[in-house]
Amino acid sequence: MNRKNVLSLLLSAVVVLSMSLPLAAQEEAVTIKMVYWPGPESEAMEQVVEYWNTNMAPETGVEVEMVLFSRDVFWERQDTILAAQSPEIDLVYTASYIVGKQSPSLENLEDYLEGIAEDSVFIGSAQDSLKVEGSVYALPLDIGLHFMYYRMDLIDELLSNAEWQARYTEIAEEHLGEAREPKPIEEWDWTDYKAASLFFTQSYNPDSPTEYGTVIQAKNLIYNVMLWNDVLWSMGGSWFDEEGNFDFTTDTFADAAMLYGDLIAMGASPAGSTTYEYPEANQAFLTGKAAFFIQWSAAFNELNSAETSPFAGMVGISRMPGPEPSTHVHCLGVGLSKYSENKEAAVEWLTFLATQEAMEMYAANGGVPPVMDVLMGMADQRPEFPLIAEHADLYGYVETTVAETVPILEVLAKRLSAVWAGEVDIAEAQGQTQEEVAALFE
Amino acid sequence: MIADFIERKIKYILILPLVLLVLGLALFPSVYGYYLSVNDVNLSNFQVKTFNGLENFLATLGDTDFRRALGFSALFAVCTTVPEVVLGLGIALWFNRRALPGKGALISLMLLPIMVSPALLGIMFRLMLNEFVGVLAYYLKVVGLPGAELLSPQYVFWTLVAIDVVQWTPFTFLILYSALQTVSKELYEAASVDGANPIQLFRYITVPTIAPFIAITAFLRVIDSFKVFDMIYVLTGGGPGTITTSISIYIYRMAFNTGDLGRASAASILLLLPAVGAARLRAAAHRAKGRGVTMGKDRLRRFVDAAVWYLVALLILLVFAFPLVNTFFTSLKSNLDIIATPPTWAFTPVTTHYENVLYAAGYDFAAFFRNSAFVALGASTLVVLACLPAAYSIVRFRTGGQQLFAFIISLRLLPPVIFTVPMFILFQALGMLDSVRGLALVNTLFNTPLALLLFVGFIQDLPKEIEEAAMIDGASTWGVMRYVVLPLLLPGIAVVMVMTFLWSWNEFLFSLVLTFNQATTVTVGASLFVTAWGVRWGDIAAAITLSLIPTLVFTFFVQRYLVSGLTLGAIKS
Repeated sequence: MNRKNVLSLLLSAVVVLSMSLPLAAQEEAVTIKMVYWPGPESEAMEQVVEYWNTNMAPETGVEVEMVLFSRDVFWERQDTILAAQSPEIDLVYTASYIVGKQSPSLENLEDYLEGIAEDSVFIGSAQDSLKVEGSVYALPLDIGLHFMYYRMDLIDELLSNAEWQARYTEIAEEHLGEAREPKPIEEWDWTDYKAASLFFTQSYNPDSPTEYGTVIQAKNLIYNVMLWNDVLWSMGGSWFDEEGNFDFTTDTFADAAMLYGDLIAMGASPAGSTTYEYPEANQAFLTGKAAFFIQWSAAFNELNSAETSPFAGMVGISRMPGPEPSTHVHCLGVGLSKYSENKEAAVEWLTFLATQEAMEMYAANGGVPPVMDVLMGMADQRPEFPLIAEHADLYGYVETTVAETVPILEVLAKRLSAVWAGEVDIAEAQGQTQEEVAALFE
Repeated sequence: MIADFIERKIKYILILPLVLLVLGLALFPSVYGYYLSVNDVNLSNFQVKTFNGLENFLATLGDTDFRRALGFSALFAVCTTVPEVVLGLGIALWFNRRALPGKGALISLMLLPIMVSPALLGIMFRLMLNEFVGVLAYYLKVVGLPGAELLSPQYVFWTLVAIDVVQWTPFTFLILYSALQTVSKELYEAASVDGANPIQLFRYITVPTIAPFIAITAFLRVIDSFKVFDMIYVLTGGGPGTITTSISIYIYRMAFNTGDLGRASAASILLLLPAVGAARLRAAAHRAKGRGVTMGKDRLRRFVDAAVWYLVALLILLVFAFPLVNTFFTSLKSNLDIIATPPTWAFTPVTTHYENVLYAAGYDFAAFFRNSAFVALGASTLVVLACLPAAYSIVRFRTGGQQLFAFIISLRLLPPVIFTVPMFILFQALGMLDSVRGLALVNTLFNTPLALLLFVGFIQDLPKEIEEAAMIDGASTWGVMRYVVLPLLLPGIAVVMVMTFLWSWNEFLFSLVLTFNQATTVTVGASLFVTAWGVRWGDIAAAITLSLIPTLVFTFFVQRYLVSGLTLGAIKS
């Protein structure tokens, strides 16, 4: 490379640098910035934002800009902004499991939105899931819970085919020590779940149409712990003892943990389960490798749509197995940053968001607002919507909204994923969990 | 008068830009890190800090997870560096055997894996290793190897090692290939006349001559593998349990998930001590002469040799470029073809994913490209302006001694994650958040160690006699630099610019944390296709493919200067 070329390269770089300076200096004064993560929630909200900016912004003088942060390290990125008390962001994205952690940096919305605590359009339990110490810190805009998804063709066959039923009983007796008979999925307890998982696994039943009975998401990830919490809660357990203190040393906790551990060890869930999360589990189901699994309510469309699924129209939804069927419920929403310099403008937008009109628009574009009338009124377009409302009502629980919720989930993800991978004994993991969670509150 | 003053203070003037850069950008985060390490401070209540002395250090040292993460990172660094250096050297020897048409293009294609951010490559490996729809998992299973279990506890460590080796062997290849250009042909000929066989030639001539290059390559790879973060985080999240938790993941989780900034800072400082020590042990500078060796006697043998050379080179290329080739094919498949089992190679190409990336998804990808170009070009330029004079001052005037050099090199040894919060605070105070200028400066800072390392090596290899002759003729130090050193270092400048360009183009963490939407880069933009409810495989593959084009074109045109630049020692002879 001769001197001329290198100097030209340097010169070009300097020119590009100087040309970009005016761009970097641009600033928009009346726009409020609202953080979202990319996905169906942001796509639905984008339409509501567009409606506002077209129809309401001229009147109110408030424009809304959605700022999308990548899904990976999403919360951490917001945490950094809040920790630095940055006014760059006006509206913070939040969720039931993290609102407690964020609350020192959020405004109490009851001081800004009249009647939001007592008389809002949102389902009461949804609004409660974004309360910290009794105060509302965010609007619940999207509700998420878990369903047991299953292949209706396979479960129907199991309930009607005598040969299958005999084999089912035989497998249950041989491997679980209990001669179970197949039951409708809505009547399952966790032993039925286990028996059916083995029955639909080819290494136990070579005639099984699926290679595995179920697919478990066991990666070291907090969202996987939320799914597993359903097992714990449905077995009658929780994170707490009777006095409300954290207790991870109970027998129920061990049983729930070992349900996952056993199924993975027995090969009833794919070998790679210890690194699975949402998409891998969906792929197992969509490729016909698994007969049923626990998954987020948001998956229904992908699992049942003719565009993405070979099993469209054949996907059933059930509650969790008993004895006390339960599903984790959380809401995603937006809260007002304490450090915003545009609070008044932001409140105008929040007031609009808290109306049925805005939530209908949001639902029509793919969102799942926790508004009863909207969920029940869209059954034709979104068959899972009424079930979301029903399951939230009948089986829903929120673990806790204390500030330490995410760190607790992190500890559980770390310790339980080791148990599920067969790396650590459950008793040891329980002791470590108890100790580490206690340390979080010291 | 002024000229005299400049001449007297020239060694300080030359090093001043670098010192200002480091003080301006690294001093506050470093000092703030020390401050946090002796305080009880939580991310969610950041303004409240309670002094707690050495408690964070003691707690960290007593934490089994910390020690395990340290052990994992050390083992990972060794297990990846050894094969990367050995394979890189082997491939370099193979490529060095022949000078055939198309070799330059093959070298450019060999570099494909280092043109992609590890975070994005990790995402694509997540697809390739998937038991049901993954190409790699499927074909390994077909040949009777563990395919589905690659990420299971039994194999996960070696799977991660293999991915790192695939991504970074091209880097070691590049440096070692250029080193081989400097081995004297005469030496080989003399040894051959004395009856030395090829193994002896390698053992007694090649290895000793390129030893400094091997040392530098191994040094760089050990420290980069030691602080591995993105690829493992994307694939395993550090699990199952903590078996793949690297020290960077440990610090990251402590800072952001547990929220204990005091402990996270203490862990980082504990790493700093061996890091500075390691920096001081940096290998000797490049010393090499001469040109490479070519061979061949009759036409038939030459033809067979050439054919075998191309075949092996293409096979090597296939292995290392496969993840990117597969990414390209994925970008052209429909969603149903992407999840087809067995993997399909005969499919009707679709442009949907490219349309999504460029128009439909609502992202301004053209702006992402502009931002990346500005950041990468800006950092490449600034790094040369700051490090070249500083390196000259360090080598010729011994300015700052080993301490300054070691401190700057140690910046590369620390996991960047520890700088994120203080850097955010600093940028907020400076009004540089979400600005491409700010990102360019950060990338300049973090590329300074590599640039300084290379420039110091280059300048050490420059024949001092030419500079002395110029001075005898009355040239000032500035004049010597401008009219003697600069022209000789032009290929070296090209090398540093290209390396910095690639690293800055692919930088992920700070581009993520310090931007909102105005300064989003291509790498961060591509990650927007990882949504809350799954990965849009086709879209992200298209985004990665598009992001490769500028770096591939850039590298293709300058790869020959890369090689000549890295072997400046040749001019000594």
